[in-house]
Amino acid sequence: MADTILKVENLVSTYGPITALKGINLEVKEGEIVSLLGSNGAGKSTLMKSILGMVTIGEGSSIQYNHDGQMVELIGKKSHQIIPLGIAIVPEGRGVFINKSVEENLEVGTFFRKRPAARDKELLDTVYQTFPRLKERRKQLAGTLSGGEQQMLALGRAMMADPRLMMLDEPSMGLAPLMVAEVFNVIKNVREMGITVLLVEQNAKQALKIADRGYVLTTGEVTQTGTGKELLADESLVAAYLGAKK
Amino acid sequence: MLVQQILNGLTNGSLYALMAVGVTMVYKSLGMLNFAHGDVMMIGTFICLTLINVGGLNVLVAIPLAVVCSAALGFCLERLVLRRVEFSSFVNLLIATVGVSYVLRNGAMVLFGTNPQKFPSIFSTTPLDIFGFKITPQSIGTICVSLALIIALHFFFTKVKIGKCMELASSNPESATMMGINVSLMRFMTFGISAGLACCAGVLIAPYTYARADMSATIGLKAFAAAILGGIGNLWGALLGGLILGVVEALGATYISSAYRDAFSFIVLFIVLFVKPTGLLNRKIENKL
Repeated sequence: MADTILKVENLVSTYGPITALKGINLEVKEGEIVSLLGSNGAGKSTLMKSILGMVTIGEGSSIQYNHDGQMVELIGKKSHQIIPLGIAIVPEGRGVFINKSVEENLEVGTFFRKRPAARDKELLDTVYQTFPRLKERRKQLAGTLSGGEQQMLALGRAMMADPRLMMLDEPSMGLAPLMVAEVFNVIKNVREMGITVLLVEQNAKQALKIADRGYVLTTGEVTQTGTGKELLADESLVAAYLGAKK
Repeated sequence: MLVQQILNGLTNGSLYALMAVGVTMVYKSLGMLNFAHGDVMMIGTFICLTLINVGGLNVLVAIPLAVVCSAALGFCLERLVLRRVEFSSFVNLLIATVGVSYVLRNGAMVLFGTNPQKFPSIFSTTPLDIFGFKITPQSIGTICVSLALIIALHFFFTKVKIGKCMELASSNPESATMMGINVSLMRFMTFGISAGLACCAGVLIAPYTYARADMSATIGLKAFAAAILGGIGNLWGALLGGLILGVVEALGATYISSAYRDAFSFIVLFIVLFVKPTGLLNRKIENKL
C-alpha cells in the first residue's frame, strides 16, 4: 500500500461570512491521480486554496502532508512556506504572468525548490520535450500565447517546480477539444514522472477516466467517493452532477 | 541656447524620473498612487542634512545613511499604516497616504522649522565649459546618478531573483502567491526601495531648491505626471516621462513664458493621455479566457 501524501480531515473553510467547505475528508496516496468533481461553487477551488494556506480555515480542521516521510500540518502555514515542501499548482484560469516571456514564466517554477542547477536544466528539457510549442515560443510574452498554449505553460511551470504533489484547477476549462485531450495526456505523463496528481475538473468523464479515485463535492461537502471506474459506472451520479453524455 | 536649455531640462527631468520610478513601483504593487512619496523624499533630505550639520558627517557618508533611514521609513509606512487599511478599500488606501503626507510635512515643520535650509552639493557647482555649453558638474552628476540608479533597478528587477519576485508579486499577486512568492514581503520591500530612491532624489534636488518642509509640493506632483506620462507601472516609462517633462518645462519657460513653467508639463500630459490613454510606453495585453 502506498503512503498517504495528503490527508485532509474535517476541513472547514470560510470566505468572510460564507462557509465554502463544511467538513471535508479526503486522502491522496503517493502516485495516485485523484479527481475532485463538482459543479460551480461546490468548493473545489476553495479546497486547493485551503491546501495552499490562502483562505481562512475553521477550528478542528487538519491538512496533513507527507514531507520526506513525516506528516506535516499545513494549516497555519503560508503559501510561501507550503510550496517549497514540494506542492505545485496549475491555477484556475492558468495564472501565467502575461508580461513575462515563456522562459521567464517557466523559471518561476524553479524559484522555491532547493536542488542542484543541473536538475533545472533536466526539467526544462523535459518540459520542452512535452511541449515543443513552448520551446518554439520561449522568447514570446506569455500574454501573446493562445489559451491552450498558456495552459501548457502553466503545466510546464508546475513541472519545473519538481513537485511531489501537483494540483490542477480546471486545466481543461475553455480549451478546444483537441487541446483538452492533450492536457489529459500530459496529466498521465506527469503521474508517470512520479508526481501525485490532485485534479479538479468539471469535465467529469475525462477526469474520471484517468483517475484512480474520485471525490464528488456538492456545496462544500463530499457526497460521493470511489474509484474512477465506480464513479463512471454510477449513472445517476453522472446524470446529476456531471452532465452525462459524451 | 536650445541645447543649453535641453541640458538644463535633462537635469530636472532625471530627478523627476527618479521620483517617478518610486511612484510607479508602488503603483504597480498596490494599484494606487502614494501621495506621501514626495514627503518621504523631503524627510530623507532633512535626515541627511541633520547628519551633516548635527552629526558632523561628510556628505558622502551622510547620504547612504539617510537612504537607509528613508528605506526604514518606507518599511514603517507599509507595515504600520498601509497594511492596516489594505483590505478595506482602494480609496481608504489612497486617503491614508494623503494623511501620511500631511503628518510628515507638518512634523517636519515642527522638527526642522519652516525656513529653507542650504544643502551642500556633492559635486561642484562651478559651471564647466563643454563645447561652448555651460553645465555644472552637479548637473552632470545628477543626470548620471539618476540614470545609473534607474538602470541598476532595471537589472535588479530582471536579473536578481528577489527583484524578479517583486516584479511578479506586483504584476499578478494571486498567481505569485500560488507560486510560493511571499507577496506581502515583496510589497514591504517595494516600499523600502521606493523610499530609498526618493531620498536619493531629495539629496540631489536639495542643493537647487534648499531643504524645505514643502519641497515636495511641486516635485511630488511632477513625479506623478512623469510616471503617468510614460505609462504608469513601467520603469522605462517613468524615465522617459521624467526627461520629457524636464525638457518641455525648460523649453517652455525659455521660449514661451517662465511664469507658466509648471503648466507646460501638465499640458503635455493632457495631450499624451488624450492621444494614448495608457501613457507612452504601456501596451494593453489582453488576458485570454
